[in-house]
Amino acid sequence: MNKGHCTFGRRIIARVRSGGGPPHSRTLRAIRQSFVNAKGLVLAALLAFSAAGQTAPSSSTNADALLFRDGDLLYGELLAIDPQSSVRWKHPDAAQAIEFKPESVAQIDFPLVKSPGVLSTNACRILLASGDSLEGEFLSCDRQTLAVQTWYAGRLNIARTSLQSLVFLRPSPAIFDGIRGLEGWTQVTSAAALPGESGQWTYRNGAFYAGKTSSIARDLHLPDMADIQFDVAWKGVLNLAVALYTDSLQPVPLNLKEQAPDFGGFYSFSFQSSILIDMRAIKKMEPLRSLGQSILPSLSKKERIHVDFHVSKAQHKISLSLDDVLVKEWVDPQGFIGEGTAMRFVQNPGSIIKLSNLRITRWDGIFQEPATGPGDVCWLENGERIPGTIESINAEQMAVRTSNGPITIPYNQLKAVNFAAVKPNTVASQTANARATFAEGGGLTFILDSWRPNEMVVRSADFGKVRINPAAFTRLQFLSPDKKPVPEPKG
Amino acid sequence: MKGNAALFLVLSCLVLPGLAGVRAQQPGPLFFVQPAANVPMAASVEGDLLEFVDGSLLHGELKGMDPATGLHWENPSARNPIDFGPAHIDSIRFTHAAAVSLAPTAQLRFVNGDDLLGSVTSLDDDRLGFSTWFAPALTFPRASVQTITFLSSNYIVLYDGSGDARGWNIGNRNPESWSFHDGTFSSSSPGTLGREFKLSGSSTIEFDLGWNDSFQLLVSIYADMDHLDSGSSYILDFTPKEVNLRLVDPTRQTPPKNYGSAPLPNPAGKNKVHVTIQSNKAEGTVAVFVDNVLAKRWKDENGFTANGGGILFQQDWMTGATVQLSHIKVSQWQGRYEPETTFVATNVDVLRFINHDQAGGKIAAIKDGKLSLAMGETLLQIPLPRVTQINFAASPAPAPPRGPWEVRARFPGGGSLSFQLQKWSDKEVSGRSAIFGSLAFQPGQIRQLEFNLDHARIATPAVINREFEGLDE
Repeated sequence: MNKGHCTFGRRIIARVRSGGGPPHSRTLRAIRQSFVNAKGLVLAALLAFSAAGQTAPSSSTNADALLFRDGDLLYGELLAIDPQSSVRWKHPDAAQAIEFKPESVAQIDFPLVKSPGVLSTNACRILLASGDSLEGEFLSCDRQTLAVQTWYAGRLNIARTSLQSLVFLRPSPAIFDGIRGLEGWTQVTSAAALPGESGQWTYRNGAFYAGKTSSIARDLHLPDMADIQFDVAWKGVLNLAVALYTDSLQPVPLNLKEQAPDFGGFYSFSFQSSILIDMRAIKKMEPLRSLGQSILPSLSKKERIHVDFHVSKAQHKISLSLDDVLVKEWVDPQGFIGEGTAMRFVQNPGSIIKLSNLRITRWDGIFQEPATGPGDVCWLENGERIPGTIESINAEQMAVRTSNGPITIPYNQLKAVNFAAVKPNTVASQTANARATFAEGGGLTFILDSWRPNEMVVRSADFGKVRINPAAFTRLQFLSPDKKPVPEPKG
Repeated sequence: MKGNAALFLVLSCLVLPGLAGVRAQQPGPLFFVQPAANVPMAASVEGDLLEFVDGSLLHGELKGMDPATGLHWENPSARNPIDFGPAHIDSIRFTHAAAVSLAPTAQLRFVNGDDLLGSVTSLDDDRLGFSTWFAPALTFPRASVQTITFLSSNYIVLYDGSGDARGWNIGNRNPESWSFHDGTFSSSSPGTLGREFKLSGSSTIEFDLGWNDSFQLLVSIYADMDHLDSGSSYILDFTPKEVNLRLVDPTRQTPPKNYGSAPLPNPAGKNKVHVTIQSNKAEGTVAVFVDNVLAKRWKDENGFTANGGGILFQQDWMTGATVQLSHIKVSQWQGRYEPETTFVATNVDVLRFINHDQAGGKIAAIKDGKLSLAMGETLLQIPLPRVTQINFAASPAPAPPRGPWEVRARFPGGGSLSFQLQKWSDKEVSGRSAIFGSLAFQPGQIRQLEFNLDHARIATPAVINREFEGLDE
């Protein structure tokens, strides 16, 4: 999937990744911590946090994980949910299925299952006014309804008044898609590390981990127009440097850069002390140039972010989005100084860190402003912005009523749509009893009528009663009966 | 086992001596945090804790257990009690294990990993006689014992806690300062955790210290809990890398006396270690051991001058680090030598003496207060008070395989025993030990029950915390 395809329209992509990406059972102890802390208690097993390269208990690797409201945690297999009566659970050491009270359950995490969805020219991501989001195959849209075909729930008809935005996910072959191992990467001991302080990145389950000062780099053949995405999770104080468009696989100690082996210019993004992001242009025999910092106090409250760089060499511009919210755009007034096509990640002291979901694609290079105003706004592939009222969209064209009269736009030129602002359905959100998170990000809030291994029945204020294949989700959260928000899991 | 059939003891009156609550505390001059009202901690109300080897954990109550039907667990979130098999259970921690008052003279460490506190009554070529809290006249094979540690005179366990938080007081309470959960005190922000122990003699203070990031933990020993701003105390200043000792005496109007720092012996870079603080009043020394390795022994040339009786933990720095304390144990003793905290594995019997000398040979017997040591052709008669530790020659026999219901009980006050569990009811726990034969206890006498004894418990790596200039880019 082409997640968070572009930065345009903060309104479009904001909250698409709320929840911080797919969960993983190994982080459940950390998640449990958030629940326990929420009660003013502290988890005795905090120090068993696993992101530092700990091997997950083997029996839990492919198990479902049941997290209770009191912070308890039990691995096993979900058998059934009947929200009015019980959550049935199979545990390998229990002879009988266990029935838990639904009101005691906070969430259930499921092992990641690869989505069978096929990205086509009709693939789209839909963001609802409620903050929910989903992906599917676009079918049609008129003044009442948007229809989308999904692999997990068939055809969904979503009320137009529920829509916030629609983004077409045009196929774009990835230049690099996912960390598969250490092969092809170059690790170098940091010259700046004190004796005993340097370490190595380790690989496990699609992610790199580091707990000590360490550098890992690779020529990823970054294109001139690039979308570079990855996830970072950490414990401690985030202190990561990311070099873009470098030609050197060796880390460069800034205070000794003139003595370092020759290297070409590159850009360095420094995530320091969990609150500061600094972009610097670094070149040999030239002073360091900071192109601007961004202070993000909210980052200190997080332990995981989705990082998304958009780069336009021609425009000398790099933008950074965190969790799909644009943080800053940097423009180098001296022109683009990156001389290579490699990336380098340097872990500096302060945290245990995990890198995953590294994906690099060519980008169309459109930097757009977010939509404003009460009407619909369409964006085209060429970057053009068209305000108006959308009458319909089908496989051939989009019909828009603009201030200059009605026009039609070929379907294949559509990039995205921001629908006129609507008021979220607060009544619906108050009656919902569950929220499910998709493996690829985003999620749905609904009334869960039942859950079985092959089918869950839900009622949504946005698309009515549907049957969903549970394999679509990696997490199912039970909303608190008193409607207080459940602590946001950190996994 | 000969003479040890069906041991059963009901300890009806087990109390901790002299653990009165403390009055409102005021941080002394070295403390960064502001004075605040003291808040006594409530006992944990979450019940017993069942932990699995895969990291699962369930609170609740053990209703019964036997090999035929499994472990009968009542969990408040479950509609009915759950029957678990033992295959993946790590341990059960019991919240309300009875407190115990012990005055042992020796600690036995067995080859199978068990240990007991009590008194050695006899030793010959084959068997060792021992008196302990649940049986006054045990005898068992000498080959089952790895080490005998003779404790300092008048050794008494004052506190073996972390069963609950009663008696502890928190200063500067805020949502992330000290709290208690599942046997562990945790703090993620500055605050104090203190308790009056009425320490008067020398002492051994032990605890497990865990952390997840750079931290600073101050441990005030022999602190005057009633007058923190005026009483003198020694303060051990722990960071992940080192420990420092200083003496604070506000009455002298002088800066704290600094005795210097020492690296924390933690070569594996763990983020959880066992800390032992030996305060020897007679010698005027304070020593810190980390995982039984001496970090440093400081000597106060003016003699041991701290005059309080309490212990105060204070997390400093606004680092966001979480510091955890568990298995806190405080014992008191008299005399010039400290209880040994280390032991050696040898192929001959090894004696350690109070002057720190060692001697190897074959221990023939312990009788009438003397130990007979055969060194070649010579048989030495050594007064037992001169001996601090006996390490028996390691047995070449491999350990027998453990069954699924072989469990290890850990007792309040110290000591642990493994046995084949036969039945656990609300009245009695029964089992059979390869060393002692049949055993029976009251459930309330057990603090923790471990399963799958050969399962490696997960250890975690430390977080790097050193800051330096010239970060790589």
